[in-house]
Amino acid sequence: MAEEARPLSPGDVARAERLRARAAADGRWYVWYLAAVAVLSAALVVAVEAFFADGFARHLALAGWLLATLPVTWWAERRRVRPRGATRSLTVAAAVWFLGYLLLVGPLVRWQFDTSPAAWSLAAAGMSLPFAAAAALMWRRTR
Amino acid sequence: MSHPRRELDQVIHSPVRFSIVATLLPLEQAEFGYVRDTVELSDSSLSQHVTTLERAGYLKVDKARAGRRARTWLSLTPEGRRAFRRHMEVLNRIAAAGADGAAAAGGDAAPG
Repeated sequence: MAEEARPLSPGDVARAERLRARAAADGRWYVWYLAAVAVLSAALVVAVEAFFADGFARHLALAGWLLATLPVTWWAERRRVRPRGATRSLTVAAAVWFLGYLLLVGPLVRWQFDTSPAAWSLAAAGMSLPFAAAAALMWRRTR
Repeated sequence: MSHPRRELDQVIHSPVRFSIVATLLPLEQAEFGYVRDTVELSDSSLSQHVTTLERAGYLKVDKARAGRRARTWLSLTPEGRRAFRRHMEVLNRIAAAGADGAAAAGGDAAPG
């Protein structure tokens, strides 16, 4: 109760700043999560567009990709903090990736390069940039 | 003119609640246990402070189930963030006024 009634001291403000910095550092895992999403999204595009573009193999590739995302999702679910702006950054990056794939990069690369692994690798790397940008933004925010 | 200390937010001015809000400031949400361990409080003490902050509209509590485990998530509301910023501004003004006063007193005391 004495703690409750006591007003703030400069020591309390310094401690609060240390706690804030620690919490920000503890939220940095999200940068690596976004980086993993960038790599996984690029891998998905290359797998289903270049290496397993047709038939049942495409479904198998998709199933394999979903299995590969499970440990990442499980790891993210176990975190005890989420940094500020985490949901928004992931949502915006995923929307840009999805719309880019669906409306622009996907049709264009398919039309010009068919199933060329080199072309799809480049396109996939380009499309994963929103996740990389979100990771960079979160890195700055959690410093 | 009233002293800036009258503008201090009494909900946030408690050292423990100030620490809780500072911990949540860079986060979208944090688990109850994380805040308890970071601020070094007991479950019951944190619950009391969380209720006070929630009643003031500064904090939101979300309960979620992850499998068999129930998880309680804490997050600051936009009003909570604003209140903390305002509080820090007032503290800085008080500190600046104190420094100015000390400088003026030092100047008065200095030999001419």
